[in-house]
Amino acid sequence: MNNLKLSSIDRFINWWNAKKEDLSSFLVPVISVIIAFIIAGIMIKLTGKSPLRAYEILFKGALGKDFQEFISLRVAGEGILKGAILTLTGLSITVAFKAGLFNIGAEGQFIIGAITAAYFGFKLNLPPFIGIPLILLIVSFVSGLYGAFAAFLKVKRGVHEVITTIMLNWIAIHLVENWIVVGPFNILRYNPRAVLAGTPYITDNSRLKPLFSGTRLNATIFIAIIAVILIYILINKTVLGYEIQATGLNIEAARYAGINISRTMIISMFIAGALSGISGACMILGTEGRYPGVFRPGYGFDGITMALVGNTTPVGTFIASLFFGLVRGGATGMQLIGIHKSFADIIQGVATIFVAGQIGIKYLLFKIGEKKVFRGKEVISGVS
Amino acid sequence: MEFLKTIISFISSMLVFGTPIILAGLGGVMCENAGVVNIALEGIMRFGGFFAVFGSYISSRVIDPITGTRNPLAGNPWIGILFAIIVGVLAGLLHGYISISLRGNQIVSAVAINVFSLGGMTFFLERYFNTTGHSPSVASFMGKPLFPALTKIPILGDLFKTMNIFVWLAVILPFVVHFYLYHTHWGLRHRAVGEHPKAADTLGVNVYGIRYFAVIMSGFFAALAGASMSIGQLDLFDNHMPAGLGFIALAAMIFGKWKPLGTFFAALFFTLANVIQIYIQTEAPQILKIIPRGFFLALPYILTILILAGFVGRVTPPAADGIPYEKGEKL
Repeated sequence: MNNLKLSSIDRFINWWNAKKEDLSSFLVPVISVIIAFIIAGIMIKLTGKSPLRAYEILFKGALGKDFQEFISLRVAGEGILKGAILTLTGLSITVAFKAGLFNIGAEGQFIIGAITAAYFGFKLNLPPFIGIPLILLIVSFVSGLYGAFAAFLKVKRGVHEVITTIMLNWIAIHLVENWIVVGPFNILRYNPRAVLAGTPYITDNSRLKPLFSGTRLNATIFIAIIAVILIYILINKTVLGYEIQATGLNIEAARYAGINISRTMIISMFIAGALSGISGACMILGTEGRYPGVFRPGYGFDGITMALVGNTTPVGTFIASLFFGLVRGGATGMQLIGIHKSFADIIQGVATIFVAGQIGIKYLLFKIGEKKVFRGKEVISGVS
Repeated sequence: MEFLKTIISFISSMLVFGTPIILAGLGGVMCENAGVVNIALEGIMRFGGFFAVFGSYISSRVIDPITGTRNPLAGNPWIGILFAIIVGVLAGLLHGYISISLRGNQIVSAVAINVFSLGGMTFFLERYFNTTGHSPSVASFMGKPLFPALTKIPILGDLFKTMNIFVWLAVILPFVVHFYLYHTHWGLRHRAVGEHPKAADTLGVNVYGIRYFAVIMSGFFAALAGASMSIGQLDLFDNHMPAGLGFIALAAMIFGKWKPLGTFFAALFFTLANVIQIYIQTEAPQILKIIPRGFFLALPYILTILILAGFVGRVTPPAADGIPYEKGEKL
């Protein structure tokens, strides 16, 4: 009888109040991204261009002009490829985050992975089905150790991983770009007449070939999907995953429960490093073909956004990465109307700022419900 | 004589290269002593660098109205400093709002500011200078000693030739910050907030107020650091200008044990690696064949890790560093 008096709005509010905790983890990133697009739109407007036109071009540049082109993946393939690479660094941050560690070092691990892949891609000339997995395995191990080193210092010496990983980023950048690439592993050592800076090209067998003609999309997307599934299983279905989550949620409780905190942290940072390394390797084996003179696409830092907007879950990270990958792909086309592709950075930066300050969005979301629920209760109590 | 000259030129290079690191490092000192981590120094440097050039550029229009043409070199670089400071303070406020008022994750907030600064400044470069590379030349402090009279001193004068306003600030401000932190009531409160906010709060210290002041000052210092590169060392802005110096500043702060004077000397020590590398490159290039250049560039970061790992000496950050404070929270 009483329930009949509830309007559909009140019913929605009641449903909202029951579900808002769960939904907010999904709504916060979505709202952050929408706000980011609005703010970026205002910035476009300020430059005297039409935001709607810009977004139309972005959309078409990301997915394709029509259904035919979308299906062919000729346009979307580029964005999906970027998304796949972002997924791997995003997962890297997600895994570390689950163990309560902040992996700012994905960039460095990415670079270490890239140079390792460039070296073995050049040295090994095995059939692709043996050679490429072998390269990825070596890369995982090397980058994994680079990541695990930060966790090792935290565990043994109590050094905060944020500082160590930042330092390890710059050590990787300087040692690779100002030593290895210009010195012992320079293209000039192998081809004195080369005009390019960087390392020699990898063998044809080491290359990840494009899946379809007319697009650069390659097997990276399958590697990314496999990684998402494996990490999902690791975190949610295995003992190690349980230990990682327990360590991240409450380190003291986890220690009391008999979990080997040190081991858990080092393993999760090893996995994180391996993922970022594979990401860098995919860049080399798939798109670059060698380590160029200067190579800082920033996917390591972007991974932080992917993990956060993806609410630090593997599937969320995958969705966020695909989304931002497509935005990045589409942003390239916006240069035609004079909007620089760094525009994608703006959207990403603003979205991250709002996710960082998510308590604000949550507060607003919850407040909407609170005010209305009071009215909803009034309706019920008023009758009884 | 020749030896003295070399020493002077070394010191002078160290001061010039060290200036952005010292200034940004002081930003870190202010912030972290009040318990807020700020790894956005790099991003704020980029903001400061751009807006310093921007301020200097647009002031050229104000100064030269008769001819109607804009001569960027007629601008006023002091307006540039002003612009940089305003933007730096705003960036500090943003980081403060997220990490203090919203109690958001300080690392995330800072990373977001770094990401945004890169995209945002490219955007502004395009909007105002029609380029994505670097801005045109503007009026600057490059090669303008603050006290030209001092450069006439024999031998020692060489040192003052390269000391523009920013270099002087980088030499003086560490002592000012040291005095503030260790010899004033406010400094005591400032450090108390970073060590034990709850206790400070109980004694009536405005924890939020001091933390806001600290992040604003860190924005101020980082923006000055950025300006010192764009209109101090050069007369233009390039998006890749900070090139990790914001993170070196953090490293210097840690190396300097979170103390202003320690940070000052650590920053100079870090630039020493770079100055030696440049010196070797011109004087004895064959050494770079044995010790690669990349090693010199990586040295400051390697040292920081060694120090933090306790091989050289233990360092302890302020106890509440990086922990958001909530009034009425249980300890």
